[in-house]
Amino acid sequence: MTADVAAATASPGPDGSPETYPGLSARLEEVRTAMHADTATVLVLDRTRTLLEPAATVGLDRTLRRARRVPLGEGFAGRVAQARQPVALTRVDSSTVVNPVLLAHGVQSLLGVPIMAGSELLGVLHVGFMKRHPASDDEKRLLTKFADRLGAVLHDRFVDAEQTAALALQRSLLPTVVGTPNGISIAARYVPADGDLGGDWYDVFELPDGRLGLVMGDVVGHGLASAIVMGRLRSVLRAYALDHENPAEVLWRLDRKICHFEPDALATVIFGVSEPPFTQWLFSSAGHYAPLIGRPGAPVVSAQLPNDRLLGVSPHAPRQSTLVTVPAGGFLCLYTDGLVERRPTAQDSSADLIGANTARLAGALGDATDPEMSCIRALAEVVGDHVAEDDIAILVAHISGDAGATGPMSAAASSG
Amino acid sequence: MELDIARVGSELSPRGSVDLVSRQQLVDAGREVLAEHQSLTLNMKAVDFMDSVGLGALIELAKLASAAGGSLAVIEPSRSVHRLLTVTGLADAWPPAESPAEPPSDGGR
Repeated sequence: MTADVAAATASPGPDGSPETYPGLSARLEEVRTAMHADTATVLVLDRTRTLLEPAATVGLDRTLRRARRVPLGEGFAGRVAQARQPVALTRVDSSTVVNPVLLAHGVQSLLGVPIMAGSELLGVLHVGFMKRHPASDDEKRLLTKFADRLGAVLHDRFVDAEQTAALALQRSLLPTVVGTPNGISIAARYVPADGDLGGDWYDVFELPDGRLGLVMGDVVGHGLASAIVMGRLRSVLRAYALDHENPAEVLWRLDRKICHFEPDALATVIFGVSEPPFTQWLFSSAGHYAPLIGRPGAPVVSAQLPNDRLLGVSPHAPRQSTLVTVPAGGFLCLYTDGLVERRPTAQDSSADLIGANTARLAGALGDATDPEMSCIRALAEVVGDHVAEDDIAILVAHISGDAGATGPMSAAASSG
Repeated sequence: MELDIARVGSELSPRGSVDLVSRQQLVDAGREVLAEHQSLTLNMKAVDFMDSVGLGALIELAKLASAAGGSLAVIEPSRSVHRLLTVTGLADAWPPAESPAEPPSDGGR
């Protein structure tokens, strides 16, 4: 599924040649010996799920190792992958095998089995014999057993590689220090779910006319695929924001883009823009929780925004922007559902967990005067010692209302 | 956790959590209904938890129903389901078949 990712972790094999999957050749040598075969090869399904890529092979001359990719359904390995069951071949020629390496080497018989992880096809394992060798049922069973073990190993490596890549991507896209103009100070946090990574993102950007954009979004799903979609949406939203002033218009265009180019993606996004002194915000929400608004001397409340449809469902859904006022000395907080949405457990007495969690969040935010402290307190209060079931992102912006002043930048601001 | 899905005609009543673990089970059950019926009704009163991944299952079923020339109806949403549908702007996306929306639902693309 992710040969490209695994390739990034390539390291030299025992013979000095680059090995995409460290340790795989040694395992194949065991297979070859146990099967009394002359060659053993593993091909891995690539991320397009249409091509089998040779991952490791033993028993062939080194000069003959550079095998070609095999389309699913074609050639010997392609047939094994498509059939998803053992295939034995006692006539190896260009009509049955597309791999020129096997043909050139003089392999006479082949036995191949699919490598599965659960119901998912990961690749193909096959062994070759220089003599004509009809495979017995026992041999098919033995090779299948080897394939099952390889499947478990490959699956673990794919998962590890995906998580590493997703984390790297997420880190590269989420600013840890948020630089802001005078008059507003911003802090944000991203907490990945336990053992998994999702598509939560936030963004803060200045536009050429001096307006500031705030984004909080959540791509449905987990892992590398969601992180990649997240990266695209982040870029595209910025691009549309350059050309269109109205947040609803920006999200409408973003929705069209997703529906057309990412037909399997779903995302919730909230996007707001404001000009100095940042007390008047124009927000549009695509299926995302409304911001929490703190006003000096008043309880924290949820902004009243229409719940426009999430992105990726209907490209022409009507969208609106709503004016939200945040007075000087107040703050606004954007967050993803991981912060307030939790699976009910037997111990939960409240019938409305989200409502209860939102109230706790509001309480934690209430007194803080510094956005960094707001984030820390909010996470401590709502997440506490829980293991995060879902990703959590939170962004807090405090409005000082002194945008015109030439005073020092606020605590969380940097020149970045 | 397995989802317990009861079926009467073209109406499915899942019981439990609709999430990453059970989403495919619901989609598969819906697909079976849509193989025999044009439209699908989901009675969501016994779904105690649904997350955004679970919501993806409903959207996928709406597309399948739409592709089959029919539609998806979501009825009696539980508190959790109703909240998620409301926040995501889908509260009126899949109305009961008795009172079709005008214009027809665009829950499918």
